[in-house]
Amino acid sequence: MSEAFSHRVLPYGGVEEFLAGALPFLREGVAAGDRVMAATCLGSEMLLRDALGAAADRVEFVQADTWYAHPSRTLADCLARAEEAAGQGRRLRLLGEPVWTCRAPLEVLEWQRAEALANVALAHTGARLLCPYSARVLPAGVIAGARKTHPETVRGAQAVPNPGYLDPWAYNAACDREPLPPPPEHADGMRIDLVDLYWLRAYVADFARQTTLPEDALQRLLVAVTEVMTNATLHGAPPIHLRLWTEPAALVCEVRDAGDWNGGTGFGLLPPPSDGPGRFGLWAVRLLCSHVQIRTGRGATVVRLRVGLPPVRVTESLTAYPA
Amino acid sequence: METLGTVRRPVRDLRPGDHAWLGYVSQEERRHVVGAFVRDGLLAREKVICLGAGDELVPGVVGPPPETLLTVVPPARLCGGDGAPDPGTAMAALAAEVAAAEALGFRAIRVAADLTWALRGADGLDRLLCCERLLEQTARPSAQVTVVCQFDRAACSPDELAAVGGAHAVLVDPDPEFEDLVLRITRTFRPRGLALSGELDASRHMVLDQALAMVMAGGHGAEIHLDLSGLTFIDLGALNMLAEVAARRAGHALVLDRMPAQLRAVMETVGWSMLPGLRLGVQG
Repeated sequence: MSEAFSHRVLPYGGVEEFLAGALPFLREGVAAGDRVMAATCLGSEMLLRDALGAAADRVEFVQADTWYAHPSRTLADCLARAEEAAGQGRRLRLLGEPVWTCRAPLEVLEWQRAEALANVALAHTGARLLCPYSARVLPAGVIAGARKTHPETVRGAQAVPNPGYLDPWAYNAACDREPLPPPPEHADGMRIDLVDLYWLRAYVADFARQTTLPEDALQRLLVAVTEVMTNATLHGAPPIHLRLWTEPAALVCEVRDAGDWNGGTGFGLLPPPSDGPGRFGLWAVRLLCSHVQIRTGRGATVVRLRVGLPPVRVTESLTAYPA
Repeated sequence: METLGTVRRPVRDLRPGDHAWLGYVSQEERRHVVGAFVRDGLLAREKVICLGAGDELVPGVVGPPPETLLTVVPPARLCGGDGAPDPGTAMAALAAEVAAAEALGFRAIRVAADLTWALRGADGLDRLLCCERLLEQTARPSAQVTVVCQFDRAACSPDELAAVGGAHAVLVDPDPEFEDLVLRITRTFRPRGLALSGELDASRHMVLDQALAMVMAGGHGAEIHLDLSGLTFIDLGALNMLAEVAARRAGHALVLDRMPAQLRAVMETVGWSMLPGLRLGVQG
C-alpha cells in the first residue's frame, strides 16, 4: 500500500454525479486488487452493478440498513475487515452510504460521531472510504455536518480538502457539549450503597421484565449496567444513583455518581487494540446497548444506557434457550 | 456407574451411615476429596481409619499424624496366609479398628478405604463385592460410621466401575472451593478445571482468581476447562480476567464448556476477538 488512508464525502444531486464519483472509486479498487465493498441501498446497488458490468463480481455488496445497524458495531466490523485486508497486504475500499432517514436526532448524532471517529480508528489500516450523501434526500445540516467529519470532498474527478474539517476528538467533544435532559419525574430510582451488584441486577431485571425487553437484550443490559456500576464504585465518588425509565421504544438506565473522570479515557468510543487482551469495558458497553451517553465534569458523572424496546414482547427467545 | 438410587454428596455433607465411593482419575483428585474427608474428621476430633494407603502420606494430614485420632491400616494387615490381599482379613482388621474406636467412645468414625487392590488379579470383582458387603454392613446401620471407598479409574474396566457404583448408595463429590448465596466454585478433574454456578462479578473476581491459580499450580501447563452450565451471569471484568489468565499461559487455552446461550450471546456481541486464548468447548 503506497497511499495513505482517505475518507471522502461525495455529495451528489443525481444519478450522474453519484456514478461519476462512485464508479472510478470502485474500479480503481478492483484494478488494484483491494477488498472492495459497497454498503448501499438496493437502488444504488442495481445502478452500480449495471455500470460496473463484469467488475461488479469483485465488489461485495451489502445492504446499508444491515451494515449501518449500530455505530460501534459498524466501526468494529469495518476495522476488522480493514485490518484483515492490511494483514494480507491489501486495502479495504468501502463505498458507504449511511442511512440517515428515519433516524431519531440522537441516532443521527451518533452516526455523525462515528464518521468522525472512523478517521482515527482506521487511519493505520490505509483503508479508503467514500461516503455518498444525497443532496436531494438529506437535510442540509447532515451534508454540512459531513464536511466536518470527512477530510476531503469529491467533486468530479477531484478530491479537495474540506476547510471545515474538524479534528475528530474536537468533533466528538462537541457532540457531548449539550447537557442531558433530566430524567423524567416518574423514573424509578435508588441510591446505591451496597457493593454486591447481584441485588442491583435483580432490581434492574425486575423493572425490565415489566417491559417488552426480550431476555437476550436484558442479559446484555445487565452486563452493561454491571460494568458501569463497577466503574462508578471503583473510580467514581459516592453517592451513586441508579435510575430507570422507559421512553417510546427504549428502556433507559442511568448511573450517576459524584466523581469526575479524568480526560483521555476515550469513553470506549474506539475498540481496544486487537493484539492482546486489553481492558474493553466501556467499548463493550457501547456494543451491548443501543445507545450510550456520557457526561462528566463539575463533580458529576452520568452514564445513560438505552436499549431498544420492541413494540410487543417476544416470548420465543425464552424457549429458544436450553436450560 | 451412577444408578437410579445414587445420591451425589460433597464431602462436607456426608453423614454417619453413608457408604460412599469415589472413582478418581488422578492422585490429585484423590488427595483433594479424601484429603477433605480426613481433614474434616481430624479437625472435629473424630476417629479416622485409613485402609490400604500404602507407604504414602495420608491425604489431609498436616504435620505428625495425631495417633489417637488417626489409624492407618497398612497393606500388610490386609493380606491373608498366602501373602496376597484378602477381603476377609482386610475387613476383619477394619472391623477390629472400628470396634476399638467405638470402645473409646468416639462419636463419629470415618473410614477412608482405597480398594483398588481388591480388583487386581483373577476374581477381582467378586473379591471386591465381598468387601463391599462387609463395609455396607458396617456403615449402613451405624449412627457413627461413614465410609468412603476409592477406586483408581485407570485400573477399573467400565463393567467393574458399574458394579462398584451399584454397590454404593452415595457418590462423593468435591467440596466447593467457594460458596455463598451468589456464586459457587467447585474443582473438576474430568477434565481438570472448575465448575462455576450462580453469578460472577467484581465482588467475587478474587475468589475465582484464587481458584484458578490453584488449578494452574497443579496443571503442568495442560488445558483448563471451566464448566459454566450453572452460570447465569458473568461480567466483563471476569471475561477480561479469564482472557488475561489464558494469555499468561501462552498456548494453553482456557476452554469454556457448556456456556449458557444467553452468556454466549453476550460474548458474541462483544466479539471473541477481544478475548484471545478463550475458546468454547462442549456445548449443552
